[in-house]
Amino acid sequence: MIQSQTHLNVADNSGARELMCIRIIGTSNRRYAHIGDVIIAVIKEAVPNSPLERSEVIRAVIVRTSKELKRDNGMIIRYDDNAAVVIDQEGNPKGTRIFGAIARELRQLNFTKIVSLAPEVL
Amino acid sequence: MRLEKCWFCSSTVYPGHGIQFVRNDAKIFRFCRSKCHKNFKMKRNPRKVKWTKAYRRLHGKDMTQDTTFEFERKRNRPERYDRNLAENTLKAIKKIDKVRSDRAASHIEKRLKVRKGKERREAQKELEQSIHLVKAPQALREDQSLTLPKIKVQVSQPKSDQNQAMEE
Amino acid sequence: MLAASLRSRSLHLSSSLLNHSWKPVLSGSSHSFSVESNGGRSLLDLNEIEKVLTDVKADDVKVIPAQKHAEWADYMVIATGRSTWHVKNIAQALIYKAKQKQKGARRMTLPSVEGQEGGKWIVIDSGKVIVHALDEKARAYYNLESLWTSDVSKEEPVQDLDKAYIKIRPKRNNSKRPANRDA
Repeated sequence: MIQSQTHLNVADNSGARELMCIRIIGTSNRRYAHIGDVIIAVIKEAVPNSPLERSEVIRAVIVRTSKELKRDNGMIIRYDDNAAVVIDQEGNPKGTRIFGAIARELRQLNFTKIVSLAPEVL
Repeated sequence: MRLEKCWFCSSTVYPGHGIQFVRNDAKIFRFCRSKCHKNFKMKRNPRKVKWTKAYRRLHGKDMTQDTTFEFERKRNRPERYDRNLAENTLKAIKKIDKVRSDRAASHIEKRLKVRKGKERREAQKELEQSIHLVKAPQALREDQSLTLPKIKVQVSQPKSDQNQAMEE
Repeated sequence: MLAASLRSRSLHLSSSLLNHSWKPVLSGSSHSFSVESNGGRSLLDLNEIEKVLTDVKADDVKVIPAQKHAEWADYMVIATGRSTWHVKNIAQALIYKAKQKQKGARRMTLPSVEGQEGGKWIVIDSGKVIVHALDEKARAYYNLESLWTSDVSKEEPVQDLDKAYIKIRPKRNNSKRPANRDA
């Protein structure tokens, strides 16, 4: 459950460290975003000397949420933190490596690029 | 579908039950019910919580080594379906389960036997050491040395004098 | 999302779903039509993919068995295109091949394609074989080969109570009698 003003960790090496969600892409007045949704976020904290800077507005895909994720087979999965991966307008990830476990749903939602960069798909 | 074991209490997690928690290093913790999940969130160690299998194993309450546990091992290679094999397996499951539960029961019995013997030995020792405290009432009457000698106590008179003095 | 989930379902079960109407694939997103004629798990075999890639003159084709890296795919195929157009052509050729293969079938399953507008990095996800078509810059930037060839993801036993936790005070535990004393 990510809404605007939610702070998220960054699960890649794009150079951002912390994001804040400012908008969820989808229908208007959409309240919450879940795994696999694209959000517009602002960079709250960045690694020094990186291409991305503080207070830059970017797009990101949510890859982990600490709110439970329910699968069709009845499995319920909860992650440690809320995390997102920074992407550009075309959907290519800004970073080249992704850290931590990532949900399998992303592949079905057509984020195969992110899935193929991830070390662990659960 | 695979039946996993609960991380906290080691019971089986059936499909559609419980919750999985994925730590950031991709380790999966599966829980059979919210009780186990909550205990995990409280950072309790399953080895120190008495109702878990981990505690019981660690403290010798349950059977730990047995050949029947081998059948329930995790196998990562999927078996090719074979009708006869499946039938035999289903038969074998019942038998193996019976053998296992019998062995577990005898294990517990054996474990309890140790304590019963200990209790009996302690009782015997106590009896030997402190039998002198108990004597039958008949023996008390016969043996004068066991009872206290009767002494007549003189009630002193001056008490009444004082009372008279108070009246005056 | 609906289309994607349908696609995945049609990959797994070859049972007959509804008869999907035919839609041409022009946009980058995935469409889901399924087929029962291809009994195999993946839409395109590795050999076919390699043949297509040589036909469209993709540079530097690499096939990496990725099972130990990720259980969701068997093979990763990386190919370089000389330009955006070339990269897009590679993707189109693969989709065309998938269509040709399933010609005459009642329903079609097409691989899901990602990133077709940009043409820098296009992923064609045909079930167990995943083809990445990149331009030279993107290939150097993402360096996918090193990711999949070098580090093998360590397989730890999942239900490992012995190593798992947080706060264990081993000394305390050891002072208790060993577990199998009267077992």
